[in-house]
Amino acid sequence: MSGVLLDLIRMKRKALDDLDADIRDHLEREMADNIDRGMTPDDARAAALKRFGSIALAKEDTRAVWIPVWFDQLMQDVRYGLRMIRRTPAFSAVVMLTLALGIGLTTAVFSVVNAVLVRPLSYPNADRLVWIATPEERSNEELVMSPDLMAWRDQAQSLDRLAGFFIGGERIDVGDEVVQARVVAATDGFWDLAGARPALGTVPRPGEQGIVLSHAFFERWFRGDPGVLGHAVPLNGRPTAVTGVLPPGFRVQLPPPPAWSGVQSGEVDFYRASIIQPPGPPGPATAVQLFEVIGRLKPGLSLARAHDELDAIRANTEKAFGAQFRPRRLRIVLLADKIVGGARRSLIVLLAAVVLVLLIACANVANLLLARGSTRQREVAIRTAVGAGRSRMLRQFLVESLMLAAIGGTAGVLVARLALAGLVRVLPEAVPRLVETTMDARVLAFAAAVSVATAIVCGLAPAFTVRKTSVHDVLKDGARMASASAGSLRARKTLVAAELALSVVLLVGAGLMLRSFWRITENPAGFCARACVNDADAVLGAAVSRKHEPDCVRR
Amino acid sequence: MSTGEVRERIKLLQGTLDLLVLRTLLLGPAHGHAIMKAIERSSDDVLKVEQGSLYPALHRLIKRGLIGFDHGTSDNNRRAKYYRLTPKGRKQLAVETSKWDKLASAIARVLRPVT
Repeated sequence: MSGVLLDLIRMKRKALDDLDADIRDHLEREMADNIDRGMTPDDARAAALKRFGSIALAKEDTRAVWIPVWFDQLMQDVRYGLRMIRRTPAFSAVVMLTLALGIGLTTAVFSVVNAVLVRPLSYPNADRLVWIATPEERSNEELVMSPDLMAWRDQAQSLDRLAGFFIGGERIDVGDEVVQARVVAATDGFWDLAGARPALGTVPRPGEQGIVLSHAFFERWFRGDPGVLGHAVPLNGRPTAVTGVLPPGFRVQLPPPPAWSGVQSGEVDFYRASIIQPPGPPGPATAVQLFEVIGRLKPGLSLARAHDELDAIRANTEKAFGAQFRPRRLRIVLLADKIVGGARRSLIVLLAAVVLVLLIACANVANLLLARGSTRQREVAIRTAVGAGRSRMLRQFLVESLMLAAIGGTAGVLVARLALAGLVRVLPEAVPRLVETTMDARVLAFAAAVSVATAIVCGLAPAFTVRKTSVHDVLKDGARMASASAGSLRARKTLVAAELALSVVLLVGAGLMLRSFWRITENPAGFCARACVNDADAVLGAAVSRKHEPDCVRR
Repeated sequence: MSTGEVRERIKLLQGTLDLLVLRTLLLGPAHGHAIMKAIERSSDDVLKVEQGSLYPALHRLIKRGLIGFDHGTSDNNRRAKYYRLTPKGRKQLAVETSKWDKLASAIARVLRPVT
């Protein structure tokens, strides 16, 4: 396809190359013929020219065979627009800066929305991954006890994989020092669920202990030395074999660790196998491990079906361990929804807010363009007088505002990049998955679409008021050109009113958001954190054995 | 000028010039001026063509691949562009000619019905 186009372009260049020479040659031959017929050179030239017709028209028609007329005119408009921008640098700079801010803010927020809400998780079959929890009736602790996890793993038909994990801080001896690291301890199913395929070595065999290092941790503390594979490294004082190293790009996307665990969310340093201990016979001394649980639905199964099955299995387990635990309920949601949590609504509100800002920027720019439009009436009148049609003028104005918006939009993408880099650096945990924010093709397409829409919104108003310009009046009465027509004045007043209205909406919205934020921080969660810790103790009901230490909640 | 000016000249139908150019080039490669002269001469100067309109027609035909061109030197030692028929153009000429014949005879039948 593009080969054909290239051929055509090459052909065009070759054919058009010496059109002038061709026509000159033609005229000279005709002239020579005329002289042979006895004319004087002057008459011969005049007759030849008359016979040929308009040279300019012939050239234009010939060019039009190869280059579509609209393209030629577009290039003219672009050249003209560039000249306008250069001639009024201050005006153009203000317009472009305003647009850059508006488009930049909108693009930045959209890239966050894109990363957090639109893009799927980076796991294989991410749309089938679910988060499973059994919170107690009036509590928010979303943990699962090992008897439930084992029963589900052995009996559930609606899941094709299930894994328990726990994010914690652990001490690992890297040779010359002991490092406090952020660790995911996970059961067998985790590796497959998370798509963790080590670049070096393997994942631990089922039922065996083992450490899988993240690439960054491997580089930093083991200097990237593959010799560490197969060696036992003291982990919490107990030698544990390093079995693998993950590839550099690997990263898990998990909900932030529970607040009471005291672990900050952030990059995971390494992963280790966690082995589920059989709980032993039900009784007051039963020890259970606590896990966060993720699973993968079988294809085509609904959340509701899985919920019913898991709940039935859980009911049996509850009967067996009965009295020791308080009543719990089953909660199963898509992992993506669990990770994003309440951020969805805030992000959508934020997006709406920046769109309002963009609209205000548009109104400002439209106003500026209108103001300039009234000083350009004379130019428009002259161009109309020499034969530019209404649609041609309209198109020229649109091309001009498109160019302003294109430059503003490009600057806006840079603004967005800077804003995002700053945001991710200062507040990486402000929104879940914020660190994944990048400006991918979708974001760039969004920025381009916003720029075009902005150009049309900003450019149409002045184009239409100019359209109404009366050629006769403007050309006849030079004094009138300085004063804006009533129509354009009315348009400008309307714009200012709209702008004011938008600003008020934005201000009120921001005020309300601040107020609810104030309320949230004033009265954090409706209960005190201390009580929550005590409550967690009560949730366990039976004494938590401290000997299965790493998987248990330790205090 | 000559008698041609006295005679009434007929304006060409849209697109007919392309056909005439193809027909002229069937005789061999020629430069623009020669093509125009040949058309005028063989139509006994009846057809009124602005010579300038030859060039868009030539370029239309080049774009459709019906004619090609080479640079050559003419009789009086001047460089000129020589247009020539391509095999594709030869085929197209046959098609267009038979189409034209059909059209012409059909119109003739309508205008002068055999009574």
